Amino acid sequence: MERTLGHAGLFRPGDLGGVVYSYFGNIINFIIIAYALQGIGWPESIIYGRVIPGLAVGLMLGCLAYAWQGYRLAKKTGRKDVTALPSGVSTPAMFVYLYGVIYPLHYSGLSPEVCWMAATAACFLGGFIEILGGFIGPVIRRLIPRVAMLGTVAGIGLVWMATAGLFEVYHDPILGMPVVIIAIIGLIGGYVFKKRIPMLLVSVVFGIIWALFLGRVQVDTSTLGVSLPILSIGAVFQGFKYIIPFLSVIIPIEVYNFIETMDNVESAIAAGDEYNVGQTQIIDGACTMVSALFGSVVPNTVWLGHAGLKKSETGISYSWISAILYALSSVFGLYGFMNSLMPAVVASITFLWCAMLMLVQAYTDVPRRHGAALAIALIPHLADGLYTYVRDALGAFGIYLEETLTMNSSDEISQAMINYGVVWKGVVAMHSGAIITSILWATVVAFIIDRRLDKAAIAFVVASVLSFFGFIHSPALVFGTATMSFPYAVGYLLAAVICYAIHLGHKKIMDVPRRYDYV
Amino acid sequence: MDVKCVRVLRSYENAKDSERVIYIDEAARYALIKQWGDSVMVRGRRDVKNVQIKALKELDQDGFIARASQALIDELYIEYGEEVLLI
Repeated sequence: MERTLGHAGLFRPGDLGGVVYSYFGNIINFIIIAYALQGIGWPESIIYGRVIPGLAVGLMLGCLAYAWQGYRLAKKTGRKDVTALPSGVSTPAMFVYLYGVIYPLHYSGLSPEVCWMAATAACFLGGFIEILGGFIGPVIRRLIPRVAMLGTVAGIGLVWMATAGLFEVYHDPILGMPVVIIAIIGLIGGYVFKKRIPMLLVSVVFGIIWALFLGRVQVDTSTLGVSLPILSIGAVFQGFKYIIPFLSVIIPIEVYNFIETMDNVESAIAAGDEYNVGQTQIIDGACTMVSALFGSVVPNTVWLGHAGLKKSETGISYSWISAILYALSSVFGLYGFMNSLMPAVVASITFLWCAMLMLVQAYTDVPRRHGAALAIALIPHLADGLYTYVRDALGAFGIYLEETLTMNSSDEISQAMINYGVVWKGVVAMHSGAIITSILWATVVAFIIDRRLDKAAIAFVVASVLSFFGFIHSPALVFGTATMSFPYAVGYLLAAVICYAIHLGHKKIMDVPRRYDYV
Repeated sequence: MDVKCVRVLRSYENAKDSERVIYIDEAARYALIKQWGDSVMVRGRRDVKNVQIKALKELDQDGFIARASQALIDELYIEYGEEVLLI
């Protein structure tokens, strides 16, 4: 069924499913960014003339670079089943840049033009931090247990992709149920038509036809037009002087971003494609920096879902096909038109499938005894999801959490929630830096299972330091004893002391079997 | 950087109990040798470096298992039936 394309010969029918996942998944973010920037009065000349083309340049370069990595891997290993890493906008980072940097810049009284320059500078700096991550990422990967990385990927998949996928189906069951059941029968049941047409492709094509039949597709041509990306180096460097107060937001979110890349590459490795973690992080950072020079305001990352794409026989070509679509979207404003053609529920099936695979992979590609570590790795992402739903629900009524809610219940809404029995403080604390918190807890539990309480103590000390400086449990970098994250720093330190004390004394005062089956 | 997760059972009767060898299926062995050469690091509860990898007997090839000596299992601080990672 494979058609040869160059020496790697990797054009596969499954690539069409990959395009739906990668391209159509990302243009939803284009639309979110455009709406968010319109909401603070940015003119169309900046949004559609600078930001969106810059974003498309970054994603296009990311797709081309990942396709190049895929071809190299295929050539090196002689395999024809290599799947390229998916490129995308980091959704958590996107929201932090929009609401943590751009909105405050706007409310500080800067004009949209100056705000945009500052935002491009922030994005450029973010890319530079991602590149630095490329040098320490491989070291971190060797130090922490595999379950911590795959577990946090599974958590993100569960909360952001699997739930969103099934929620879309239940939002419109007449359209969604037939599409999802075709996908599950094919992808999980293994039923396949005689010509071996990928069932993800079958479900997507069926979904589009079914949506057209039901009248769920309304074609939107409002974004069509011609707009070439403009190199804006001067704007980036003029913007630097405005972003110094925002370094405390930009640095932690970029640390978060490069760890997300590291996790997603680990997931690809577990699925059988041995990509280089450091190289991928450097590609992410470089693409982000170039996209900023063309006007983008949010960073690139490796998207989740490689394992699902691989299982559904997606190859490498989907990556460069997506790159071409991004280029066309940028130049001709196609993103609104393409988005309107693809019902959300159809795109969400690809999300659901990839997320299910990520969860299964996290359980099967690590030692079974580490199952408890995986379970705890999911929880911070649940907090992240809860926070986002509450934030968006309140935002619909004109209440913006980032401006009104605090962690210490000093505002009216937080207090009302706590009075009503909502454990809001815990939700907000776990939401801030959810990926890092997830990795740290899974690391600690894996070390405890492996009888390495000394290493668990070290992980808690790292958690304590990260809390003390606000990398986790705080919306921005902070320092001192009167901060939101200080109690967590103390809590982690106490936990570290307990772990180390038991490590030192357990041989004398405890009976610890080599193997203990907790289930 | 290839990584394999395998379940470890007891070694073959004719294998030396003190040898630092792990027996794995041919496909995994081939992938690891391409990446790391003929010795790997094994991660159990403890990490053990420079463990030689050899092929399982044909009977075991499709069993999704590995076999290791008692000495290596002790060094890894695991018990029979538990999984390790080969890196």
